[in-house]
Amino acid sequence: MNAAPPAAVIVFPGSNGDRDLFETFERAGFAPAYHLSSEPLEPGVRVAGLPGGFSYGDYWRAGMLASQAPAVRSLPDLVARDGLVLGICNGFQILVESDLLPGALAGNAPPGFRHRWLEVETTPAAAGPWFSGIAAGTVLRMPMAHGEGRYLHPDGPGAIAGRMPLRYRANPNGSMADAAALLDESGRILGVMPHPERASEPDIGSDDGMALFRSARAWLEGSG
Amino acid sequence: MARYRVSVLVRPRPGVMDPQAEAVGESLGSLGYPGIEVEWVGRTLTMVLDAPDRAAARATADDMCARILVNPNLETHEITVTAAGDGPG
Repeated sequence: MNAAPPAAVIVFPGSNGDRDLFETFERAGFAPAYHLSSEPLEPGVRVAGLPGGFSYGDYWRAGMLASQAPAVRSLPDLVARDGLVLGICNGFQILVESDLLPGALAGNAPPGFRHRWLEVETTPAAAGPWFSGIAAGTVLRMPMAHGEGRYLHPDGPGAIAGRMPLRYRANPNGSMADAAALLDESGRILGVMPHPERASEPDIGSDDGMALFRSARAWLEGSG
Repeated sequence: MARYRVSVLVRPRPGVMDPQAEAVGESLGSLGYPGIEVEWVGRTLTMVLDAPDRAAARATADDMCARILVNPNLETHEITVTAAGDGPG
């Protein structure tokens, strides 16, 4: 068996989902470590996770200030080394603000912070490192907890059709095309608005989120 | 060099849904103000900076907007430049 791939859980001022993400990486067979956002990632890291929370208090625009952090600026180097990136909730907002993913995440419509369990469904775009072995049409149950998750792309739904791996079965926030997640062109960078890391054991409601983490680990082991 | 006060008003791009404006409008209506339509909710940043002239101060603010302060997918902005007085804006 291969050694557990090193995973960096990037901790921003105001992160609150870092421990959930750490434990889920560990459960999926990664070797996680917390990593302060003020430092670039080390070369040995194979996957970086940007957790949920309220980085920098969501000042000015959610994710904007965190998008300038040295750890975030080093993410393209990780991807160039065939590494993977997962941004969850506020982490997704940071990836969009840093232009690693296109579009924008605006305030929910109707407005308000919403937190509840919901179902997302994989689309034909659910492929690559984060979704290998997960058939299109698979329903995953996981919680949401956000106030700014309405995904928009300036060129309309057609621009994201091939890069939207998860759609809400009942849209909770007004997202374009019911988008719950987005991949970059390489498929290595995934932003997801609901929380797969909080769906990691049946005792808390679901372990459906583990599928993404197990897929990423299998992909990393396969790619050496 | 001279000192300038620069205000950046960031607001939702026309045509982009503005749930905050709708919610605030509904709230005002419930307080007994009839016929209210809140057109948009935005935010303002005011700063004081040194620049050779007013145009250069505006160009600096434009650069800040393009780089970080404005998300063009969602937002548009207006910049106002005035000579900085002694007190805060």
